[in-house]
Amino acid sequence: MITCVKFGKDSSAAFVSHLDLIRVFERAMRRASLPLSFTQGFSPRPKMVFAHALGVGITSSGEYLDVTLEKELPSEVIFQRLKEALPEHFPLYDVVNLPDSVTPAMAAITHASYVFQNQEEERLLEINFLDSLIYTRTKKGKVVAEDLKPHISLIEKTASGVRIIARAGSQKNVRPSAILSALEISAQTRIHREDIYIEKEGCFITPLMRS
Amino acid sequence: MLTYQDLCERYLDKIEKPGRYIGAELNSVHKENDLEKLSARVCLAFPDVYEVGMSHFGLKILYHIANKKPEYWAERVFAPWPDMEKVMKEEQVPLLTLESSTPLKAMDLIGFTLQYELSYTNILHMLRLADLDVWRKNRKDSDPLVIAGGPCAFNPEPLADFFDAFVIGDGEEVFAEILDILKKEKSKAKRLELFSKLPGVYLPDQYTVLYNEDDTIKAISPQKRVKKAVVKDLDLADYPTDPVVPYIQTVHDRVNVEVFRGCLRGCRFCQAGMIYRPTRERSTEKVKKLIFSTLATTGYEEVSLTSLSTADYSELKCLVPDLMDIFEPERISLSLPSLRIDSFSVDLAKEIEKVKKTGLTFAPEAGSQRLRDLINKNVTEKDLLDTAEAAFANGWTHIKLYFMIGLPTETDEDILAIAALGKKVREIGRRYTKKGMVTVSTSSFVPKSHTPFQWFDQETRDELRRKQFLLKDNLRGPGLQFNWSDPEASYLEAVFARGDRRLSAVIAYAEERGAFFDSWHEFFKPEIWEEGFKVFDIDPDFYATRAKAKEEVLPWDLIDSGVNKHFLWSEWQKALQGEITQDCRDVGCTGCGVCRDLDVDIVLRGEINK
Ligand code: SF4
Repeated sequence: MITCVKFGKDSSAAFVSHLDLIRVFERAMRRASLPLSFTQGFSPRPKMVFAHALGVGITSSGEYLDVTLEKELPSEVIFQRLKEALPEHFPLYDVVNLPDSVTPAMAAITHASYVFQNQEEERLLEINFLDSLIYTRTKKGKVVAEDLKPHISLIEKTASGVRIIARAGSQKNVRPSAILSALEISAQTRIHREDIYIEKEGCFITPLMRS
Repeated sequence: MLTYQDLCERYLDKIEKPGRYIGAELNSVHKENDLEKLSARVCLAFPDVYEVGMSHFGLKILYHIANKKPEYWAERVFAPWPDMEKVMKEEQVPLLTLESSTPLKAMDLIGFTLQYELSYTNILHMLRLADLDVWRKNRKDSDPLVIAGGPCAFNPEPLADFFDAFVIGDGEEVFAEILDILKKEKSKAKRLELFSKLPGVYLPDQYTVLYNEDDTIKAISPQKRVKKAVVKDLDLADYPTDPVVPYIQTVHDRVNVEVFRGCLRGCRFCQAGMIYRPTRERSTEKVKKLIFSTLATTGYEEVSLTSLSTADYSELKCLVPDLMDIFEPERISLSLPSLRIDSFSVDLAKEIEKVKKTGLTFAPEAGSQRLRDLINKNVTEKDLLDTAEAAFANGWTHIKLYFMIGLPTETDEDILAIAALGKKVREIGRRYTKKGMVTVSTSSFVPKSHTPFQWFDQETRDELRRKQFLLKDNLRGPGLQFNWSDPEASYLEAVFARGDRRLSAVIAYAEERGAFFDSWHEFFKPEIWEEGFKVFDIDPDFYATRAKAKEEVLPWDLIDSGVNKHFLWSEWQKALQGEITQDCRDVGCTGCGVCRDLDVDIVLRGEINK
């Protein structure tokens, strides 16, 4: 059985890197006495995969991980135990048990939604009127230019900042820092990931809704 | 005032590991800064980077002792990495505590851990970043008290002019009393006066040192010696079962349970083996209780049974299988640092590798039997070869051997014996597997205070380097690896390990000129130190490479570790004769004096493991 866990990261947890996150959750699950299952080999690791890495410094209310438990437990039980065990900086939102056959969240996700908060919100909103948004970086000594515009699905003003929904995942991934860099915005920006999605038949579903 | 959180957010791209400064880790303690409720705020400081400092358990013990009482709040601070230091300076933010981002200046007391000599400049650096004067005499009455403890406090003299007080020996009980004094008394002078009555507390400004023409010490006055503090029964000592669990990977990130303190094997080079005497074991019931409650509050996947020589724990034979029965299905690994060179240790290693495969390291310390007898390392070549045989036969393919270079009376023959031993072990390995591999690691021997070798003149750096090359040239070939350490750093360590008060000026000078993180190879700048010694007309060889006379007053003579100087001298003489001294647990008291002097007993819980 695969258990999908939805959690968040507050402003302290934002500095916990993706690699460190694995330890945070392994230990939380151990404290919660959840029956982890492990990989074979010289140094066994728990079978746990995060849906999508989040850059250091970014807060979130939509992170997911798939964990394989050795014994089936009701999702409410897992939720209760894990909620108690997680450090307060990682709010727990939901736990859903899914069949073994689901596509791993890591492979399935296609989009992510971010909210940017800074002094330059107008410039972010202007992306709507641009034909292209060129992001250049050096890759193995060569300068590579890429148009991000086609990979951005939505830009809108919200009460807390500018929301941008862009491609995410293994196929195509637009990092929020790439958008800032393409606009040459260097002002201090708070970035919050609202959620990550799987595009399915023209609709967005979250990894919890996989079947 | 900006907090660490603000700094990390603002300078996200400039700070490599913000996780070092979060301070909101699981089990970290946050209290309300309510002056009605809090009677004392202290900061526990470790003069190295977070990952190193958070691996030392002493700090976690003191953190727990203070924070379990509602009226005290202990926070932590570590040496900020240069990237963080730079932004703190830019923003004019002084050094802050991790938990609440409070300037260190607002504390009642700052307590440093002295774990190694090459961290001394970091202490001064941290004080300066905290906007405090490094010199005790220049600090104001309103400034926090600055104290220190840990193994290097057994020769506190090079730091004497910086600290208000040192705690010598086991800190648990003394620290609790220090906190109570902070609560009762608010004036610095009164507080110090009360501190001075506690066991193990040394106030350096109450002592005067007089020197002879030849720079040796004429007298230390008053003659009253400071006896180390000692915890008699570890079962009754405070021990945290809810230690802070770091978010970022630290050097040792696991449940640590100290199974005993002290060691009576009597290796003559080993300071820890002398200053933490006698052996006091924790009972297995207590050890198990500590392990399981800590696992429940931390979720760690590894447990380490710590001590100076864990295979000597008298109940280990029963404890390890008991633990493994529970750990194996849970995939919790057990680690036993400091294995002995015997088949018992290989059996243990085999038992614990059921969960996680680990490497095997053995420490013969010296290559020849003559030299092993001299240092009182009770191990024969046959022991080592038999142990290696057992290890390879049980599936290990790689063995690490640890030696010291520069031991007293060492000749080239002794060095070549290291190479020969390494090769013999490799040959055994090759009989079992083509992949058979031996790594020989060496460090330069640093004579330490309170040991039988405290009179010994350390070998010169040139000689150490020559011997390293000799060994390297003779350790070539497939399946052999050689590691060594920088003699330059060992030399400086030797200067401070047996230094006196006159060195304070040099440390301050070097720090002002940029010496910092000296124990990190990439930051170590020997030129600065050389210059410092010249400026103050101090010959570092006087401390490191000069043999000391029997009647000489040594800078640390005012510290009483309980082991008497006559015993150390007779051990030194016996060493030169090649005579060994057996473990007093086997043959009865050999007269080191600690039990009588400190009114403490050896505590064993079971039969001695042979
Ligand atoms: S006083 Fe005697 S019994 Fe006690 S530790 Fe020293 S040698 Fe051993």
